Amino acid sequence: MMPRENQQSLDRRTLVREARRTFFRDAFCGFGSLALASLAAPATSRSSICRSILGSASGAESSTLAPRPAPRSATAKSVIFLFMAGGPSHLETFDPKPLLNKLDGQRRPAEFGEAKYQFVRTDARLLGSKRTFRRHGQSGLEVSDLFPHVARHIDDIAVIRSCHGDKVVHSAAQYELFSGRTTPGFPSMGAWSIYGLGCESDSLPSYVVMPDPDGALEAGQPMYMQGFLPALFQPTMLRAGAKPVRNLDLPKHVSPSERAATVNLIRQLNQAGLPAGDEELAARLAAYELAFKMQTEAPEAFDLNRETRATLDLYGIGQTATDDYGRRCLLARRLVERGVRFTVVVSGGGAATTQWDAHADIEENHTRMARETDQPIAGLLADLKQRGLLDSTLVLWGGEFGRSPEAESRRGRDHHNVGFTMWMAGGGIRGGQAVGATDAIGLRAVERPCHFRDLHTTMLHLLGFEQNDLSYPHLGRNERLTLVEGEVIREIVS
Amino acid sequence: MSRATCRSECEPPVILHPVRLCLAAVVLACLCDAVAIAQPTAAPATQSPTASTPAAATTTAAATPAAATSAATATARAGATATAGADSKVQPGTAPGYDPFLRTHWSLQPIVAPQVPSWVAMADVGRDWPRTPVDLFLGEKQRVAGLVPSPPAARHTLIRRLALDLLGLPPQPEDIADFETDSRPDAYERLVDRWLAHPRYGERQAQHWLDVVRYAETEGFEYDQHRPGAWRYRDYVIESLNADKPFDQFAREQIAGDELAEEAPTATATAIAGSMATGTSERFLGERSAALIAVGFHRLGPVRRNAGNSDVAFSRNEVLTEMTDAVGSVFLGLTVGCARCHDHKFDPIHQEDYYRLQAYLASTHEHDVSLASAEETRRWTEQTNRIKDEMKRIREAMQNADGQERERFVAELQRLDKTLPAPLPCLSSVRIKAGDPATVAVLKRGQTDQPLASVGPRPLGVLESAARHAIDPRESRPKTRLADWLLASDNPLTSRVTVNRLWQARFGAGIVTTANDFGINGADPSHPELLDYLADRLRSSQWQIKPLQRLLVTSAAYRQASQQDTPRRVAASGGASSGGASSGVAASGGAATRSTSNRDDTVRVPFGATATTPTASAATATDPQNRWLARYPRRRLDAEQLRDSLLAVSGRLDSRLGGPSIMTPVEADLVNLLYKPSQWEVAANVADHHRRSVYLIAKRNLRLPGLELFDQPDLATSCSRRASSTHAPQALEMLNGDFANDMALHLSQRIEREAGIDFGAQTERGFWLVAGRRPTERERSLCESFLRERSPREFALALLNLNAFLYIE
Repeated sequence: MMPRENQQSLDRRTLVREARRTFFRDAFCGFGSLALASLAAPATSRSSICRSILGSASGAESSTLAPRPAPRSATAKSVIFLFMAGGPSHLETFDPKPLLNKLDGQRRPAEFGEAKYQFVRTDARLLGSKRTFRRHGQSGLEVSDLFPHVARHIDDIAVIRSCHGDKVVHSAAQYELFSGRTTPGFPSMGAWSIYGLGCESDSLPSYVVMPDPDGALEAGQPMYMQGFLPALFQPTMLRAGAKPVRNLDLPKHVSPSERAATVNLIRQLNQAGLPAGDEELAARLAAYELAFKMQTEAPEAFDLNRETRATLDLYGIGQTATDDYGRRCLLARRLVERGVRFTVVVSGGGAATTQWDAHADIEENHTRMARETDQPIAGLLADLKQRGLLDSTLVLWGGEFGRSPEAESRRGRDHHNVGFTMWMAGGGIRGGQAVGATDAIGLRAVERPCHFRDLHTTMLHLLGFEQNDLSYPHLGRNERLTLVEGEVIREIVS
Repeated sequence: MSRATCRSECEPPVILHPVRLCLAAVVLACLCDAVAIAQPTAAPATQSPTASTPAAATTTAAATPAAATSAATATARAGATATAGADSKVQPGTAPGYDPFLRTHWSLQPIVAPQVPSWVAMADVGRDWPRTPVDLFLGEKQRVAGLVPSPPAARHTLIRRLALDLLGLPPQPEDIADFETDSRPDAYERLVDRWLAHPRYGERQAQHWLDVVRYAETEGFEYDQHRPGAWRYRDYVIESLNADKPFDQFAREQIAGDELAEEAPTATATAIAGSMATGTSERFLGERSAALIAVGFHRLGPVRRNAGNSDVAFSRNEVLTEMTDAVGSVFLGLTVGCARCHDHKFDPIHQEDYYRLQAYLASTHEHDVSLASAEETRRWTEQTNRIKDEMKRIREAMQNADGQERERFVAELQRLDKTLPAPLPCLSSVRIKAGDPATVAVLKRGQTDQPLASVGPRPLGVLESAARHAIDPRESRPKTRLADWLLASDNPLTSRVTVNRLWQARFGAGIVTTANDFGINGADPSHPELLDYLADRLRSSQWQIKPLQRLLVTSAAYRQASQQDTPRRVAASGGASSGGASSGVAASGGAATRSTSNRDDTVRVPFGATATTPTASAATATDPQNRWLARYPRRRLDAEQLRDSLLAVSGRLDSRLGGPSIMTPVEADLVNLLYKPSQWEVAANVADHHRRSVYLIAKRNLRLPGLELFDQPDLATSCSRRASSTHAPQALEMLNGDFANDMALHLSQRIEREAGIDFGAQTERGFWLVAGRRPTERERSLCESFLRERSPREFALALLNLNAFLYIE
């Protein structure tokens, strides 16, 4: 047993360490968090009330990444968005349409009405699907043979067959999918999430995007960005390869010990001039400590070598088709485990053929794209579940639109924004059900249409926000992710 | 499926709800301390500087200032709700009146030159404190708040502040030394005048304007095409500000430049082309071409272009909407865009008003004024058409191709695309399309497929005087009429909005903190009389900006210390203060020159750990947001100031003026995020990479991460005020980033070159360069011992990470 004196000093040490830890975490999260943290009891509800009353001024100074509870009960803590860029076909995946197969090669019957496309002409012929659909799981939901692995998890998945957006071209539709607006400059759902909830990790970025190494997307980087929110809420783009985070590595000319001395000098010099009670400069000082901490601790999070062979196999890592997406999905799980709030794992980039943008040949394109993602996605769901993370992690799957029932270039399908499928799993989603429906040829969402805004509202709901809880003043308006006209898709939330 | 995309719920009725309203007021009142810390807007609400404004004054029932503000908003909403309704009101000529309460909103009232307050001495701040009328207005509020302004900043602090503010660059050590030893009474005023006339002045001030007008050189969206010659607009702004072009002319050229150019029929397009092709004259454009460039203002926003079946009416409406909203934000400081789908929820702007404003722009279309010769144009067109025809043929063939055949076609298209000739040099401008009337249809819910009645141009109804009527839609110069109205002597908004932007640039926050929103939902002015005083001066001094700049930076308020810098007792001692300085600050006081006392000439030990340890002053405690300016507002360098300062102190800044924008090297993975990575063409001349930030390309889909991290705005919409965030990735950028390390290397070489090998001298020189002052004893010993053991390059990197470098004190 320890002498009393020692124990006391140990307790004191623990306290000091704890205080330092909190200080640094808050400071990493930015100027203002210290002030917030010093308030008694729920800081969040106060600041959100203040925000809604006084929100007309620039809210920049009140910004913080300190973790904070959601204002309402939440079932999800983090989100992984499996972004199928280019627009996967609902007709080949989760929305079987026997009538479409029957009408293959014919004009669209008039009773289905008109639709605006980007390329297909009004005289285009309908194109039946070559995929086979089977019922899976206890729910018996139908999934096509493109997704044999994902199909095994269908009882965890809520399929939304009646999605729709406002735009039929990639860039505008991608902006709408991410930010609820068809023009760039508005914060993405990832930025909104960390604006609302802050970050749990003090050595990792809180909002991470993993682009497809195949190349860029039409909406470009602005799609993921924080728009008019402060730079604090920007995404961190992970690069392929050994050095995924920008500036995390020391320059080549300097050794870690040499750099430690430099950082120490910076600390001493800045500390010397630090007036008592100066929160901003204190936060900046702490930002340097945190930067140093990130450099030493973050690389561990990115190191997949720490995973077992069985886990790697689960994601299809090591197989040519699935290796890349598998690695990124596994990384997503590792990030979620460490408190990263929002992760986007993009499938598709570069030319149309290397996205889900199957203008030329739906069969060839979707077989390939599905093969690359099916096992990794199933692996992610299984892995999250076995680690008890699925309950608190919302997984969202889908693209910026679906694909046309009409053929383009004989075997392809054009963009299609008036009826398509996305799905959600985990984080409080009741799986094993399909909500909404398109008409008999999959042209238009006719039953319980769900706009992107409804998906956003549902996501916010799971994270513990009613859509009006989260706003930021911009150009005279309290902007929200949802414009306030979204509805929670009640059927799928538990 | 046809669920309305109506925006009628743009704002939820959160505040309207009486229970929530009361609750909110109570919570706010209880939490006022907390709020003051967490929310910058809390200060005005709790300390009620607005009590004298009409909006607050008319609300007498409210018990607390907070409730007053909320109640005013609620009433405003109720008014708006009452006037919202059937579509019938959008019929031209039947516009109903405006809510009488909303008419009384402060920003819509005429500007009346206010009485300049007289100075009442307070505490130890005596008659010699105020230097310009600005100080008299500020002093009045400070006295009410029980605050005392801070003593003057040290000279080295002041000159660094002024240099970064006016020129955007830190002062040279020699400038500081000169200023510190300049004993002439008007040494500071001389410095101000010298720098107001400096070409760097325009470069720095232009950045503020470029933020507001959403300046970028590319169109955004998928293609993010580069608008050829877009940089000329940036040069136009720099040159106009340097020349102190009167703001009314500056505004008029941007709003109606094409119409102004028409009025100068002698100069032909070829003549302009000739003058511009010579290159040397580019920075001294003739008035006509300057006007054609300036009016490119209307094209600065993002433009969506896409292949395939496009909806022409929809796209045109997107463009007009963007243009109209910009005019509203930039010149009127109103969120007119909120009235596109319905009557404005807060402000007295009817939906019809919105479309009438849009109608001024309805006949205006984008137009590139070619600067190429006829022969060049002919050859270019021929070549382009040949390739485009070929591409068209392939696209048609592709309709029925698949698999490998299709891939081949795609590859061929890509190859042909690359062979298209580069665009010819041109001005990115606009013109009136002949025969296009200046009318637009009011759109039900803002939807292009639901047009209602057509309307022509007319100023905002709520500001309409009885004598003014709707403008004939056949008017051939509608934008000139728009400019006439914006700049009319009875328009209360444009001049207020403009001086507020100037104030914000000098003092960090505007007198109205919501610089783009002077509406009901915007912030109330902290100093309404001062705002009107400045607006009145702007107009009465022929809209010249530089005299106003001078008025602001020569004020005692601007010259005072930020509290971190100066312990109170220094102020009390007064040192060699020239007690008998002339007291008179005339009401016209911009040119007031009076004794600059030497009381603060010595370099104190502001950061010494063992010397005076300043504590948070009373001002920090009672006015955390510094609305009453009893101390100078310290600020972090903004993104461009930081990059430019890094270049300047390391001796790498390339100081060439103007010209086409530069693309600098960035990480390949960022370029690969561009849909067309080939768009990023890094400047071949390495010296170009070290040009000032204002000359770097403003590309919407690729912003430089180093600038972005330090809150450079996103170039999508007008940015009225930059955020200033503090986070670890900034530290990583400054520690590990290529640019910071590169600059550190150059800085270390410069220090060695200029200070020799003595560590003491190196430390001294380093501090003069980055912090603009001598090191303290402690700083000196820390640095010298570091230099004895470590590399000079790491020492230089440490210097670049000093708060004394990153902040304007």
